[in-house]
Order: sequence, then C-alpha cells, then structure tokens
Amino acid sequence: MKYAIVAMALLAFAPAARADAQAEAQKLNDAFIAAVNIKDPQKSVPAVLALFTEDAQHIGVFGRVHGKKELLQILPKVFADPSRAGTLRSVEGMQLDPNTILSISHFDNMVTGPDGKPMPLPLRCTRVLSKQKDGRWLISAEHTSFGPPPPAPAQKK
Amino acid sequence: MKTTLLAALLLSSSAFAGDAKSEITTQARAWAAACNAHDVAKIVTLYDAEPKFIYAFMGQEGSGKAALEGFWKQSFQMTPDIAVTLQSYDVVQTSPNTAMGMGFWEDTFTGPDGKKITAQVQTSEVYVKVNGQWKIRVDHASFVPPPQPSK
Repeated sequence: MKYAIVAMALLAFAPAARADAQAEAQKLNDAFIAAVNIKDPQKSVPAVLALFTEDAQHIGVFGRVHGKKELLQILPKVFADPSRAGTLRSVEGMQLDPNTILSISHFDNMVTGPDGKPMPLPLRCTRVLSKQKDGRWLISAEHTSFGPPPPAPAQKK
Repeated sequence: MKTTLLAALLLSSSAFAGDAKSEITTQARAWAAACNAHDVAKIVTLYDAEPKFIYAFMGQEGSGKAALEGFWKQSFQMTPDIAVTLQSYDVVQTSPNTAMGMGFWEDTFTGPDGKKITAQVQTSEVYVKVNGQWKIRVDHASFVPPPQPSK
C-alpha cells in the first residue's frame, strides 16, 4: 500500500514537473527575447543581465565569459547593432532536478550583415536554469552557437 | 557541537564539488579517448538515456542514443583520421546532481580537398548523475570565435 501511494505520488509529480519546466523555460526565454528587443541599450543590457545569476557561465559567439561583470563588458558591443532584433523560434524545457531546468531554444538574432543590410543569424542555445531562494529561475550556465534551425517535424500525409 | 556539524557539512559539500569536478573531467578524458579510438559504442555509454546533441561542423542536432550513434558512425566514415585533443576543461556544479562541463578542444582531420584542417572547438556538456555516475544529457559544440579586434 505504501509503495502504491509513493508510486501514485511520483506519477502525479512527473507530468506536473515537465509542465512546469516547459512553462518556466518558455517564460525565461520570452523574457530574454523581450529584453534583447528593447531598443535602448541602456535599458536592454540591465534587462538581459537580470536574467543571469551573479557568477553565470556563458559560452557563445564572443567566446567564454564568466559572471555578470564580464557579461557587462560584451553586451553593450552586441547591443550597439542598430539592426538588433530577436525572434524566438522554439523552446524545450526539461526538469533535471527540483532546482534545475535544462532549456534548449532556437532563436533568430537580426544583425547588420557585411553589405550593411539586416540579416538573420540563427542561433541555438543550451541553458541551465537554477531556482533561486526567492523562487525565480535564472540562467546559471549557457552555450549559444550559430547554426541552422532544426528541420520541421515530418508532416502527416 | 552545532558549529562542528556545520563545519563538517561545509567540508563535505566542498569535497563533493571537488569529486564532481574530478569525476566529470575524467569522463571528458574518457570521451576524448573513445573519440580518438573511433569507438562509437564507448562514446554512447558516456551519455544518459535521452541525450541531445548540438554540433558545430554541419550544424547537426539530434536526440536519442540511436541518432547519436548514427552521427558518430557517419562522422568517422567521412573523416577517418579525425582526432581530438582536450586542451582545457572546467566544471561548474549547478546542483548536487547536475553540472556543466566546459572544454576547449582542437580537432584535426583531412578535408575534402586533401588538406589537413585544424579547428578550435568550444563545448559545453550538461551532466546529470544517474545511479551514481555522471552522464552527458546535452552535448553542445561550437567553433571558438576569432579574437575580437581591440579598439
């Protein structure tokens, strides 16, 4: 009987955890894109930084960066591009443990191309989200890289 | 007594983090050895049951052990002399059962024109502890960007 109750509790928790992970990952990635899309870099930089833990690890198109102080060194350069605009394409959230969510997202970042015209840069991003004492989920580690978006799911005939 | 207990707890948690770093770095070295031996079966054992991969060269992405196995079999067929060198590896433990490993690698192989190519690659591996062993859940690799021009 005791095992049945434990099993039922686990079964009840599993789908809820998945739903929460997906919702939290979506929320954080939406907030990231919204922050990127603030036109004024004076406002967009702090809005992006607010989504990271103090000692967050970042690997990306500018190399490896550790902590908000170093992020603050590179973000103004990135956000100085007048064509800057982000579009979120997909988000997948997975609960790794009660305090850790794994997020895999795809987004397009509009940048000024070599010809001076805006061009989309497709990016893939792995993020580890860590639950804070106040209940917020923040990015504690991430890796962003250039790459084509994944193929669309096969269409049913 | 309370202070002693607290000190013991702190010491055990830092020892735990040290163990994770050492265990995961050993896993990264094992991955490099398996890759250099072109041992697909061994590579796949280093991942958890539902791995995901995001790779650099052709922008490949996939999930599941079968896809991972297929990717590496194809890679070794296309670049039979590929070799990787782990240059440095850092580990950040994000919770008792999760961690991110971050590596700098040098990949060498012969390109389609017969010339030797050397690529600098940066990776992140999200690890989860499964039955007491660290396994890769997500493997993400990308090219190291060229140095930024200084003003």
